[in-house]
Amino acid sequence: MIKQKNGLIAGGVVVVLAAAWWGLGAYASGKAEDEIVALLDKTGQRDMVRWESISASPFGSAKLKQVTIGPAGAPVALIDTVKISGLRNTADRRSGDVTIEGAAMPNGYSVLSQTDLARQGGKLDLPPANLRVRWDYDRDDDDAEIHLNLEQPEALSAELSLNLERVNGAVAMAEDGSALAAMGMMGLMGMGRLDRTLAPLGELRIKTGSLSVKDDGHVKRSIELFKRYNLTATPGEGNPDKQRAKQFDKLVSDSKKRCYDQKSFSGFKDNDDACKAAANFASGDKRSITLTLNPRNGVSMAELLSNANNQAKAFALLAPALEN
Amino acid sequence: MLKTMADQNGCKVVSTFRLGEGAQYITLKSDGLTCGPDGYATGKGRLRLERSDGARIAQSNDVWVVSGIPFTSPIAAARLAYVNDNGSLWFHLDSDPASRSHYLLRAERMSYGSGLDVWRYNRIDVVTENADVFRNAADIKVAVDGALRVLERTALPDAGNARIVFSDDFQQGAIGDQMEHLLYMITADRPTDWRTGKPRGEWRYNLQYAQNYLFKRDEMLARKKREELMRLANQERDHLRQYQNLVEQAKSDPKGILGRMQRDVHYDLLTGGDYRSLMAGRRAAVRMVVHVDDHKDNDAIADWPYEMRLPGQKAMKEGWYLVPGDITLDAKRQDDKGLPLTLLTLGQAAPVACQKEGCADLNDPLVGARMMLGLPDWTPEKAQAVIDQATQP
Repeated sequence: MIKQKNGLIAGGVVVVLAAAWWGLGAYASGKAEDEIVALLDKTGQRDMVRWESISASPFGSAKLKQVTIGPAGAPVALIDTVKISGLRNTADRRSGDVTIEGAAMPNGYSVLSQTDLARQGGKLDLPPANLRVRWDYDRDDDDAEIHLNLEQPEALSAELSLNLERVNGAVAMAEDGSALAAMGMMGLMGMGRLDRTLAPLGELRIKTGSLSVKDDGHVKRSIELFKRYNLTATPGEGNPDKQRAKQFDKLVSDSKKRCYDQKSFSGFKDNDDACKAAANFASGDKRSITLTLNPRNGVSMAELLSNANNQAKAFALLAPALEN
Repeated sequence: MLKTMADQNGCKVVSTFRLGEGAQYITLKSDGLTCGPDGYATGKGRLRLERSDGARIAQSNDVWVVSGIPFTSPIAAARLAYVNDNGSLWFHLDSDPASRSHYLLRAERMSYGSGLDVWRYNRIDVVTENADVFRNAADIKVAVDGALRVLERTALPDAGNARIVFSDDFQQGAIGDQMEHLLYMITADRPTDWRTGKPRGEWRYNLQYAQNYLFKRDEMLARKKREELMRLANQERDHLRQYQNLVEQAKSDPKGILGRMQRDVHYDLLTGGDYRSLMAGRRAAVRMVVHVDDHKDNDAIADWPYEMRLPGQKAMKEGWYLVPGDITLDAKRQDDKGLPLTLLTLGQAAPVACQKEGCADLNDPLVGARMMLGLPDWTPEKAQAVIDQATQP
């Protein structure tokens, strides 16, 4: 039920984005809003999405305010602002920058407040969430950049960026429905190699990438919960919180030592640095952690997949590093 | 069950008379009977049921009618005492205050059809409170002779045989034939003159061929008691085994007994475990050692193992308890760690007030066994005594 609801919300957001994309493309004719409405009508989603105002500029940006998603009278989500800019949708260049600010449930809490993540982090009254998606694909350079930024105040924020090369083949394939279907099938069948239809995907190269997670309370609360339920204090040996804190510190330093000894992050640029960073983040000493991929000449998907049975080796190709 | 019909002379006859739909066309005819002063038929004769068209519905052989009740053999005055569902009749013969005994004659129904039923003398039921008589041969003879004398003196002066059943309860024993209320059964006979039907000698009976239900009952009770003792002994063996396990466990894991008594919420860093379902508003059954150190509103406040409230338990004194109950989270209120406030609601079982810090006093094989068995007074010594008693020869 809840998953269904989340799916509905996500679906609604996607519809808004898609609607905005096409709507802005139609801006030149001065009928952005009409176009969005027409598209919603066509997809049967007209009743599911409403907004109070829309403003568009001739420089390819637009702002929808007070977007409501869900049936009238029983909305499932509210979004303060949807900002769209830098939209290009030509054969040579595709780019865009979409920001969703203040995505909340009708009760005012974040759309993520009913998720398992919120539940296991011990906080349901999370403030509205923000999401920013940026992409830029250049056909002449045969490369692309993707940035994803999720902000959940009082829980955590995450930022993902990827720089890709040799993407033309993959983009062409993505526009071809049958190839997409083949890819879906491959996923279903769990096949680990690319057949000829999917060969363009194998050429795709990762130039650089990074994933950052910054704690804004979620990790801190999870640590408290871990200490509370998984560490046992002994009566007669003083304050239970202090006992658990001591045990936790020991657990972290032991884990760190084990990480050094067993080379848990083998394949990383520096195992010990990675261990330290992971321990610092998990113990709450450092609020953020960043995984960077910085392969010298880029790594192709085909190379990664050919090492699929040796994850450490495949990972090493990406020259990853972990730091706070 | 019994009905009355008048014969052609207007004398009343008692039987079951199941005449069915054509009852109004059926009449009772008799031969050789006379009316007694009470209007009931009496004497030796025959009975028959006739329909208005002259057809004969049912017909009896010779019957001896006493107070309207037809018998298959001559019977002196009869006082009806009881009718059971089968139509068997009990007639009160006599009572003897000295031996606290009541003598009854039992007659079984036999049918000539259409409810033209007559009764055949079947046995003597003696209801007596004097059960112990039947442990001693001399006393038994006195009781049997007494019953035979009553039979001769009252209903059947010329009886040639008698089956006498002694019981200690009229309903359960004499009528119900329930084993645990029967005492003794014996048959007696005496020679009779086949021409006159008069007795020609003394009653004869053999105690060897009697049924002594009293001793049977004793055996049965003894067996039941033995079985019960064995059952209890087996149960105590099981208890002792569990206790011994705890003793062994205590050697290898000194804190294990108290540990195993407890059940707490499971938290998993990656999946959330029980905690996630608590956050979704569900409850989790727990048994926890808590330390109550304060009170607020109607609640007791615990500071061990972590901050929680026991709603409605303001009467709980400060101290250590083992509390069985349910954990819920109140997401509207926060504890000092910024996490949803934990509420521990008492279950059906009462909390155990502990004597030592951290309920260390419960960390004892005997306490653990008592709690596990649900027997607060259990001791291994008592258990051994039960086993010893059962295994005595």
